[in-house]
Amino acid sequence: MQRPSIISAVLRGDPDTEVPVWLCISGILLGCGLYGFAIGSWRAPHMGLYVGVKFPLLILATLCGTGLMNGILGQLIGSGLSFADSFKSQLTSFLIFSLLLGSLSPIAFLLAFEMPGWTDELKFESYRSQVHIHTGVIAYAGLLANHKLYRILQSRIGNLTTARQTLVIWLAGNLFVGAQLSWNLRPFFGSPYTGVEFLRSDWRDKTFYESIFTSLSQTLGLYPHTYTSNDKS
Amino acid sequence: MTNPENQPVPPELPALGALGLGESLEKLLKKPVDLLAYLQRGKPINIAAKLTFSSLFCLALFGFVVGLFAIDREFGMQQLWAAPAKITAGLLFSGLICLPSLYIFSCLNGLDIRIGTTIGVMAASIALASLLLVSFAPVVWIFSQSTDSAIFLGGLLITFWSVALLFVAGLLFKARKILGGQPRGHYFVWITIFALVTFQMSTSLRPLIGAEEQLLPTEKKFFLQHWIDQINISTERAASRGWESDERS
Repeated sequence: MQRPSIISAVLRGDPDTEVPVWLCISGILLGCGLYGFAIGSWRAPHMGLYVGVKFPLLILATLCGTGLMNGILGQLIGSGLSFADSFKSQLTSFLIFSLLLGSLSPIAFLLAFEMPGWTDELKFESYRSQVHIHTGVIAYAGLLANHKLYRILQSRIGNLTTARQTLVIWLAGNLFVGAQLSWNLRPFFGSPYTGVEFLRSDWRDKTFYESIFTSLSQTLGLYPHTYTSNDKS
Repeated sequence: MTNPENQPVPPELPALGALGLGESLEKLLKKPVDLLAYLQRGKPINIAAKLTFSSLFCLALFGFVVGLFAIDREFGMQQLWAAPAKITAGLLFSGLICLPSLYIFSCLNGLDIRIGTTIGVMAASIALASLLLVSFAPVVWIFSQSTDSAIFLGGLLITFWSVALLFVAGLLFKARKILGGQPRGHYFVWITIFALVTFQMSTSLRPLIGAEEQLLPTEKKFFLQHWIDQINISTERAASRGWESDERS
């Protein structure tokens, strides 16, 4: 069987493994879709469906949004990677991220099923716990995927310093764009403060960075605090 | 199987043949490295089925002993079958939902492992834990007949389960060595996840110790919250009993 051996080789960090693009995209759709469904299903089954669609969409949109920029920046710092190589390397990294999340999705389903539901008295505590747990799991999967990406870059570029610089630049680009896209595609965790919806009605009103600036300004006392829908993410 | 030069070379594998239940258990306890070699090179599903059968028996027996704690209480008799059923089903279900992540974490650890071998390693891990639990059963029985405190017995069971998990971790680290993995910490993360899942499962299937009219809980709780609630209830009861005995003296 060819498919399991490719997946196994990718996860082991074999840098010479060529992963077909369709397999990467299928893996991202399946892994992130399942995990997203598990996250959203705590709030409502159709919220699970929404997040199951939005989570892989976020990953693929981030990749498409940064593909050109990362490809050019990678070439500028002397990585020697073609656009196709840089795109495939990042796609492979996101595949590892998605496979790890997909493998943990049965446990995420258990968590969604076992935590006090959104109609329960403890819904706010339950919501906060889930946000912390899922954020931790996603951060861990991201760290592992980037570690594997670093090894792929080491092997393909040959120069450790350039590989490290390429990784840092790609990471910065992905974080910058990914944070904004995840802000646009809210809600993910199905906050008990708000209703179930695919996208917020104000999804284009403000950027993530403006929101951070406003929040910081309020914390520092530069603005009076006003309660807005952005507080309910 | 790829075996780059920088990876540890697995020891020479024993001759493969049909491995019976007794032999499988003996190898699991005495020569786990041999059993892991069978799982990698032999028929892992066949061995996994035998080990799972042994786990069913051991967990049911252990559950029966746990159920004896509630025998004198109202609704206590139903615990004689409910506790074995819940402990057996809970642990096997935990193994099932943690199986995909065991495969992924094994690959991340650098192992060239098949899904069949992963199932075998999971079955061996649960069988080892089950054997250890059965070996602790007489001790559990002594304490269960010596106290009325569900908190004390719960603490004892958590301690025994943690000891079993330590041995499971040891088995996984041996598997990593013999199957040609790199010394990375992914198995440590996985065993932590597995422990958390089993702790949550014990809360989801409560009561395992003691007895209630309802066989399954109607309220959803995180396991830490459940433990804290139980400790608080127990402390309040102990305080009120202490006050009563002071009054009588």
